[in-house]
Amino acid sequence: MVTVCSGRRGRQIERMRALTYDGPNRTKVRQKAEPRIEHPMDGIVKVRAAAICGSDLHLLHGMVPDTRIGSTLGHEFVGEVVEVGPQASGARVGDRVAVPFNIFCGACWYCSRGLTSSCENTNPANDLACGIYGYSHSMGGYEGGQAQYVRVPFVGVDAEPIPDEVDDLDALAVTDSMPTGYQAAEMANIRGGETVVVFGAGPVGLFAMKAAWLFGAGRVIAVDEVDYRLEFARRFAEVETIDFRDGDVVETIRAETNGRGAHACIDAVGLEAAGSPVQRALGIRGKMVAGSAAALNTAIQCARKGGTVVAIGVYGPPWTLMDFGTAMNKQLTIRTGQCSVKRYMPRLFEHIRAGRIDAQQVFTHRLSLEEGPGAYHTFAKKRQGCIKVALYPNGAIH
Amino acid sequence: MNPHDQGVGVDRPYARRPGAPRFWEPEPWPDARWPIPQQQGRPSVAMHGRETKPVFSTALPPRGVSGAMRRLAYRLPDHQPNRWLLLLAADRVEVWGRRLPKLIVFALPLAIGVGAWRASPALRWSPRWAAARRAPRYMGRMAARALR
Repeated sequence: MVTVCSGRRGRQIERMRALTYDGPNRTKVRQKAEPRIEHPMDGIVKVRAAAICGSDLHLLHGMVPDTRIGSTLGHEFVGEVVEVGPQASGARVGDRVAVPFNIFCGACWYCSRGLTSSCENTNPANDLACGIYGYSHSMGGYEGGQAQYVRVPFVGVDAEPIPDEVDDLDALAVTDSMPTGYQAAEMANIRGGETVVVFGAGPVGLFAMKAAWLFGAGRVIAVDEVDYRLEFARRFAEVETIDFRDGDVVETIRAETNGRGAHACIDAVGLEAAGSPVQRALGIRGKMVAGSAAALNTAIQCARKGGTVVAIGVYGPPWTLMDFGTAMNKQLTIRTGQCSVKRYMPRLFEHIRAGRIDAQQVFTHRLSLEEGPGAYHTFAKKRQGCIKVALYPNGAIH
Repeated sequence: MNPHDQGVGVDRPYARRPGAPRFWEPEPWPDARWPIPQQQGRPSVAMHGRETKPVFSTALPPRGVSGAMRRLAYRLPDHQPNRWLLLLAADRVEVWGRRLPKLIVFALPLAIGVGAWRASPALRWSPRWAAARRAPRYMGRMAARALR
């Protein structure tokens, strides 16, 4: 944070650097005013590392309603608490914390049941979900973590102290992508020995594959169309892979599963899915529906009758061209939802400490904040072997 | 089963699964407060007909034409698709509201240049431009004749 000027009445204005949305396909590093305590339970966190998430690309591509130009992006970040409000018990200045992407109060009907992603006290915009950092005004309009400092509401409740032996990058994955993947595998209702197909070998998909093994899956198959990501999935999660471009995926999965289909299919792709020209034309190019549901429909087709389809890829309002008739006739169980990150954090730190998940591997690109705009395009276009990007707004690149 | 992966099946017992569905009684999180103190100020999301949330963002309040569209959209309930379509339209308006002034910086000198070029003496004698200039009058005469 740098004091660069004084205001009209001589008031000192603190400025910081932040990576902001600048219209579809554009991001920009801007000087912005420092965050301040606005509520007695707030805290200010100095960001040590922030990640670019696959769902940030939905914002980048202008697919999330009410994304305002100038808003700071980023909902995955870890940092150090530098200031706390008068009623923010549970957090102290100097704590190294991982901040879940959900902003939640911890006391409402949903929070007390563990459903922090449905908190009813942090998103004044709608009743869809709780507030989320840097994820449009549809999710409350909170400033994101791809900046030097962030305002963290309910810092004493939400922020999870990072164990000393856990590195920043491992903890960074625990703020969103890892628990989202883990929750997906948990929702797949694996009891032991089942076949699980994961669509999308991005960061969330990779963690879903890892988690499927932890839950006892007998076979895990990754489906993607990007060669380096399939190769990474084979190496990182030790899974079988199917290239989406090599013939009919549904037929291939059925052939691999005695003609029945998979016990559970996890859609970790979301609304930018390729694979259906009609869906792409209407959803991605025409923006007439909330993106393409091609991956979700393929998942529905690949699941066995009575199986489970888990959708953790992001779909937005107002509607999606989903093949619900097939899902109904096949008696599928459909599980979905924004991850309630906080309840998974302690368990995932255990897995990291036990060496079961090496989250750092997915951060193939580790860059400064100024390199962020370029990194967004590298990530979006899947160039340079990019799996996930970590940004260091305060300069300390590891 | 993958024999190489460490921890295969370690979370198979339901008791080790942290959520979905949750297996313990509802309870507030540590250090949570109830009732939650009310934040002062005005939220940047202009909701109408809803109770104010105790915590909100004040960043980037709605401004200009796009802001007016957003305020209008937030008058509609979130189960109506019109609300979301209006918000998406407001996003496009905001983008073009930012980009057009930048375009004018290039477009205005270009328009002046083209006008000056067309007004130059050399062009007055250009038979092609002269024909182009006569064309609307000629079309008008033809239309008038047809209507007679």
